[in-house]
Amino acid sequence: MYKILAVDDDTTTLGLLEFLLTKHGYEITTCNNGQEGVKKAQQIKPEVIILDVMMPEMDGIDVCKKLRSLPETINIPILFLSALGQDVEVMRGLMAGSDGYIVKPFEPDDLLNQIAKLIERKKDSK
Amino acid sequence: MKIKNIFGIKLSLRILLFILAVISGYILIKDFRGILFTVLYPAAVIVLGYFFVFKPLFSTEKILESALDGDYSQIKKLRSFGETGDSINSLLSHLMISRESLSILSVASRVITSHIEIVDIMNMLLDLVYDKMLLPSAFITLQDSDGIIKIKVSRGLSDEFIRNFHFNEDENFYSRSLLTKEIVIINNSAKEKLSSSEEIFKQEGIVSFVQVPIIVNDKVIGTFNANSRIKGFFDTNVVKTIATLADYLAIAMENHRMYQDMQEFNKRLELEVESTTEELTNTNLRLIAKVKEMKALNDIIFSASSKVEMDDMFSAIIEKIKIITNVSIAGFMIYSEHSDSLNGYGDLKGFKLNLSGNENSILIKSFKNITSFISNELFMESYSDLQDLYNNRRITSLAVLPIVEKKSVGLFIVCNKVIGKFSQEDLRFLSVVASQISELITRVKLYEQLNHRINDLLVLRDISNTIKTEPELGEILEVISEKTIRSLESDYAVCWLLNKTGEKLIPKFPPEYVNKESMELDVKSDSSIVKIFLEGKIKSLTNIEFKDALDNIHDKYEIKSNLIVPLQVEGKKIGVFCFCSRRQNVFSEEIIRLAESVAGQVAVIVENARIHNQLKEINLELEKLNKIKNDFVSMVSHEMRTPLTAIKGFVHVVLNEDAGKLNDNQKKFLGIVKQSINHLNMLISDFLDLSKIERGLIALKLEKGNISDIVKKSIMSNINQIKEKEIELKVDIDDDIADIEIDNSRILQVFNNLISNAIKFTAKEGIITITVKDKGDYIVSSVSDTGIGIPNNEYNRIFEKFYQVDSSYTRSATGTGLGLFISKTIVELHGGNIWLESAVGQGSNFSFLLPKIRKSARREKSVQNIGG
Repeated sequence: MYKILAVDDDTTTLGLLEFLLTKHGYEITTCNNGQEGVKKAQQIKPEVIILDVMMPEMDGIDVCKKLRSLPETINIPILFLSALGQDVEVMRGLMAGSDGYIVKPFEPDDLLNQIAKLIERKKDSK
Repeated sequence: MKIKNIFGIKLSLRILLFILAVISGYILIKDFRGILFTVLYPAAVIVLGYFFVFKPLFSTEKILESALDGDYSQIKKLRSFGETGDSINSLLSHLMISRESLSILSVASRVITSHIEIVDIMNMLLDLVYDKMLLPSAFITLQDSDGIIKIKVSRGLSDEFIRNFHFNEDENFYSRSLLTKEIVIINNSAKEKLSSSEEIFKQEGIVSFVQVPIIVNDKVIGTFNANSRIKGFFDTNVVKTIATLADYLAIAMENHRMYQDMQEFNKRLELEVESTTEELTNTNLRLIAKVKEMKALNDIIFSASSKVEMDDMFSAIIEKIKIITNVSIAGFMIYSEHSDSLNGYGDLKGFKLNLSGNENSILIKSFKNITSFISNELFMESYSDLQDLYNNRRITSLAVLPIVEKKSVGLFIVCNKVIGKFSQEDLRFLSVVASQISELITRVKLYEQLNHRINDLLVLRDISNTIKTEPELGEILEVISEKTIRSLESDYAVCWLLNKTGEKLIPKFPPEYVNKESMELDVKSDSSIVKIFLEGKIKSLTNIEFKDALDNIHDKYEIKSNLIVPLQVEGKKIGVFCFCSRRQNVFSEEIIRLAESVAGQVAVIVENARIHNQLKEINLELEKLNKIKNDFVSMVSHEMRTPLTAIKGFVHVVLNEDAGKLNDNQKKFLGIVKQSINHLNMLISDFLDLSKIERGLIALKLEKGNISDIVKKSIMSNINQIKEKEIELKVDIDDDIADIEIDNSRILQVFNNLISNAIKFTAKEGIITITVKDKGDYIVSSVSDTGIGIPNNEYNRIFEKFYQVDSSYTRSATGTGLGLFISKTIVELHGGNIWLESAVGQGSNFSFLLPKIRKSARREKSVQNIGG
């Protein structure tokens, strides 16, 4: 079973992701702040990390950069999921080292497809 | 010769008488014997015989003898005896005449060449004839101015004769000569017929006369007449002599006349020469005086024209004047319009006379009426306007001349002549100087004006130089104050500006007093500064007149005089400057004038700076607000999306029946919910887009896209509304629409917008037509409806932000008014264009074109700055 880590400060979003991903056979771990997210990522080493951008204290961009600097998490695919849909922010997210960017509110199918793609890619590159 | 003939009758008679007497005596005394007879009688006879007979006889003889010898002096005695016989007379005369004629003539010729009067000449000539010829009478007649012949000189004529003498018309002796110009000789009048007047001659015993006409210039002007008792006296020689004398007389007269003429001519000439000489001398003197004057003037003007400062020029002129006209005090008073007063220069420097209130002053009168004034004795009491001068310098004599250049410009005053008094000559010279000076003054004034202008401009330039960079009000005031304090010869400046409400003047300079409440001035107060501010005219105030908010400043800086300068822009009063100086009376005409000309510019600059400041502040505010708005929009959009995520997600999950099976109604209702969520999402996106556009942050994600696919997609997402409204949908897409580089999602957005608009504004059972056509380099898409249409006057505004057509036609409050604005932006970012064709009641047709090939490939990745 593939592990997914979702980091978002909004609990409703986390609730939705939990249901959705569980329904589709993923093992999901959630946390609602960036620092915890980094810790958890190191611990769990999930297949994909879903990351929100706008979070207090440590925002998604920083989390991503951090994850990319740690050897345990450097290779984990990161998918940004954020209400900030401007190109600038998307670019920012991509340049921080993420592998994708989905804008909220999202089409659940889109998300699921993206996750599947990322895992496929990871598998292939191995 | 018989004795009778020689001695004449009278002598013969005498002898006869003597003999008779002797005989009778003898007879008488023959009876008497004695002494009487023997002694007395013969003695008596002897004595008687001697005196009565012998003496005359012998003396006659002697006289004759002497005459023969050439001594004629005794001949007169003959005449007195009255005894001369014709022949003796004649003989004697002839003798004498022939001997004398030469001498007569020589004397005569001498006489006529001497410069004695004609009358004297006539007398002398007459005497010659009368004496030498022993004539009983002779006379000369001349024609006088009336043309009447009168006896001029005569010898031996009785007064009666002279009086009665006249030429009468009847032919007679005298007229003849005149008429014929011939000598008339009558040698024996007994034989001739004489007129009545000539009878007189007979009485005198005249028997012969001659008349010689005196001819001058071929005209008989008189006669030379000689009479004789001797018959035939006037023989040829005698007549010749007399005629010669007459000629001589004529010559003399002619000479005399000529001489007289010459004399007169000479006199006239002399007079003329004299007067001419006098004139020349006068002229010469005048010329000399003029030359002196001109030299002096030249001197003055030469030394004055090299000076350009009024003061220097005056000093130069006055120096010379004092020397030339010999006075001890000289000066000028020049009129200044500014202060309506005459101000002194030269020795009168510092002296000032106001025109108002001094109408009776001699100086003012002289200035106004353009008249000059001289007084050699000044009584101090009567000229109060010169009192100050007196107090200092003791004026005793005075000359005042107006200086005029088109109009009265000032006065030229000289006082206290060192030697003597002021004369008309002095006045005249000074007037000339005054008239020359007026030109100089004008020139200097112009030069000064020019200098002032230049100074003003320099000051202004300095001030405006500071405005090139950001003109901050405080800086401006500082620079202005710095420059103008110096040029206005003050030591300190304060500036107040009127506040927004126009109730108070707030101090804005110097920095330590900015906005200080204690220094504020209420517009209604009776502060002198406020008064001057309201009046709008520059005024100079000494501390005595000045009781104001500046009291503490005055004490602190020892200010003695102030210049208050109101600032006005286009009639609007914006503030007031106060320049303070430690010196008294330092704000002269020039300073005030400079202040005036600078005030206007300064006011404009200050006002501009103020406005600029205001604008800057407003701008900052606006920017802040904008940022706030943008941030707000972003924040709100973001905040709104977050719950939307859950809503959308869970609805999806439920609709998918992942949370359990759904009945039909549940499915239906949730379907509606899903639509609404999508709609809401779109609205939020619109807001975000707007925000992005305004921040200039929209960019296109260009990739290969197919418009027909996009159209279809758009139709699909709006299909429910279409069905609901039972709208007929016509789609006409060209078969061979190529793929072009576009931002698919954005173009989708455009179609969504247009189609949803069309649906919104079309009534039930309307028609919506969508076409996509390949037009060579462009693809043109259009969405048209049969809706209400858009009025003409709204065409331009329809693509504007927040634009909404009169909402009475829209059944529900839908849309933000942003859709078309965003669509337009997107299309234009693609290098395309969007437009509308519509008519009220006939529906609308929105079309847009997209180029197949983008003009600039670089635009793909860069951020477009549209700037809303």
